[in-house]
Amino acid sequence: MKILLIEDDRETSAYLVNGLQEEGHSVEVAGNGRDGLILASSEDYDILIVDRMLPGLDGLAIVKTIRGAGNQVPVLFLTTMNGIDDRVEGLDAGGDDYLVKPFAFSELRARVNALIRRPPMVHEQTVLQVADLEMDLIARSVCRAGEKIELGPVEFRLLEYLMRNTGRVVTRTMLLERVWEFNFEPRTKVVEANISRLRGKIDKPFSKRLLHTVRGFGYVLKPAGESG
Amino acid sequence: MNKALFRGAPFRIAMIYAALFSLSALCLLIFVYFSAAQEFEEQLRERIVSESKILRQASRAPEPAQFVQRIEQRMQGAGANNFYYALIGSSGRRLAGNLPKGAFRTGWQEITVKEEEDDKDDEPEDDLTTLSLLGVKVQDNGLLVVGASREKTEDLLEIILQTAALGLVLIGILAVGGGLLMSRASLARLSNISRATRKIMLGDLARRLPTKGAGDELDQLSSNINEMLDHIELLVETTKQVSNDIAHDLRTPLGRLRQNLEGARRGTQSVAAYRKAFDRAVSETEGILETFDALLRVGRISASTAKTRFSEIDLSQLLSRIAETYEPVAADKNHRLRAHIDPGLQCWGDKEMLVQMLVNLIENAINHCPNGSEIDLELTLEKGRARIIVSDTGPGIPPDEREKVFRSFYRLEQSRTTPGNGIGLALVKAIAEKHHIAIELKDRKPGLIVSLQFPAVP
Repeated sequence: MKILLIEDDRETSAYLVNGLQEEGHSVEVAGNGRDGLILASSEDYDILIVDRMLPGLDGLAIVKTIRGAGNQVPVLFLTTMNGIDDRVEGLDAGGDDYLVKPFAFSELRARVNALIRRPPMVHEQTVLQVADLEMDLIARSVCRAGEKIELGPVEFRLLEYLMRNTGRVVTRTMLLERVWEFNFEPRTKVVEANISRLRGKIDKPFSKRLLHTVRGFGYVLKPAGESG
Repeated sequence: MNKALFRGAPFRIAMIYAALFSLSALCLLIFVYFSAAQEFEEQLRERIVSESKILRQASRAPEPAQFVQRIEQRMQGAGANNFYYALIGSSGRRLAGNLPKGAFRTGWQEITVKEEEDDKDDEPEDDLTTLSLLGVKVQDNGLLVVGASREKTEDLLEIILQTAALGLVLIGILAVGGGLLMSRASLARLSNISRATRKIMLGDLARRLPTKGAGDELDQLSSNINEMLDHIELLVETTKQVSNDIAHDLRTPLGRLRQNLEGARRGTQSVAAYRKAFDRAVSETEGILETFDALLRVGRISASTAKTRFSEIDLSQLLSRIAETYEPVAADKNHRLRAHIDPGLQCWGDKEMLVQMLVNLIENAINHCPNGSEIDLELTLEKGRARIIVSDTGPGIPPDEREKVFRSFYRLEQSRTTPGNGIGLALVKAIAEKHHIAIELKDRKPGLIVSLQFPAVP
């Protein structure tokens, strides 16, 4: 994948470029806002990773400009600003995700993957399906191998998110932010406990495991044996 | 009087008013003067005109001698009226009159004459008076001149002028004097306030500005500033406290971090051992970063720089979701989490903050209670106000510590070993304050009850 990184801090740049290249992506770097905007406007990328605080043009302005020009490329903001309103500002400006420094590379990787493979036009599906697990979004019901599974509203949301990201590793933080809308670190094992509970309902009673834990990274929903 | 008195704003204001007032008084007096002058002039002329008319009647008498007689009659009897006459015949010869010689004509004119009576007290100049004369044509091209002294008029006007001048001077003195007095009083008050402010700036944070109880703008300003000082004092105290607490409580994890890294550095170790050490170090730093994050958040919320996104929130749904989320978490420690939530209760607030506040309380309960405790969540409507109760059967909080627990970093002795950084309740308090929620800590006997009473929804 072709990635544009707009970041003025050399160390962070180097760190990210190395990591992303190891993943097999090709990465171009712009060290300041203006160069970044020029590159973003003139070339096609699969994703932009933009630092919010840049010398010259700031990250928000860059994204607003390219969105204004009709460019729908996925954008991931990086920043040290972790205020609630900073997040919302970033998303309002047209960003798709927001990652606070310092972060683990695995976190970045997971989010980049989630953004890259998101289909540009998400036409509304009414049914999600992974192997024999089916979720009816209209009826708000779930069944596997024909058997109905009772889920509470939160469990439903969790499963829905996992199913929409089939095959992709989602990190704890992504789950906390997307499913629970917790923009803070809880002091208990919220994600683990709920995943466990969900597993008990959708995996344990059945032969094939779908919900896997990827140690150190997160969780992934996919039929066992499939490479994701 | 010190020079500052004259430089001060009250004095300047008073002087401006004094000047304005004096100016208006002056204008008034000028108006009065000229009106009087005009009136007197008119009155004088009317008298002369009347007299002239009367005499002209007499001039129509068949015998010219009768006319002259008439004039002379009037001259005798008119003592008090002080009229002056002159009858000039068509030939130019004086026929009658008491006017001195002079060039007379028709119409109005003024001449100066010597007074008939010599008042020995007067100055020589005062012997002269000005006369107003009216000349009219009578039969046979004769000229009848009638006149009167302007003396009275002029005397009156002079009196008016003198009175006015005196009055103006008095006004001026009063204005300046009054201004000085008032500005002294004003200045005294202002300088009291000024002095108090200086003392406060030099470090006496507990001092407050004096108020006179007059309820005027100065008092209002003073009491507003006092309120501001209350707030500042609180902030300063809080900051001092937090800084102390930070220093104290972050030293530990930072110390551990350093130990980990130094330990890893010593001696040759396997790659796996290094990796483990790094993992520990990373996790320690994450803990420290979280603490900082939480601190920042508390700081932002308390300082009201967090742009709140207040909206209508379905409180019942919010709490239900949290209850459902935490039930499995509680179950992991064998706690029983139960929720009694009245449906459909709304509130006005910031969703993210409320979530964080409630999560903090629930996690506290989960973490600090020994395994197998009971944790209850309630949401009810009491007298039009929503109330949330988070209660547990854990160790509770001793009454004397109930105030202190809301301080950043405060940990109860009994909880020093449980996970957490002590910021949770400080955040809860900050969020509650922002939402005007009343927090109360009570004894569940055994255990803790945290009561959150929301304000009435308008």
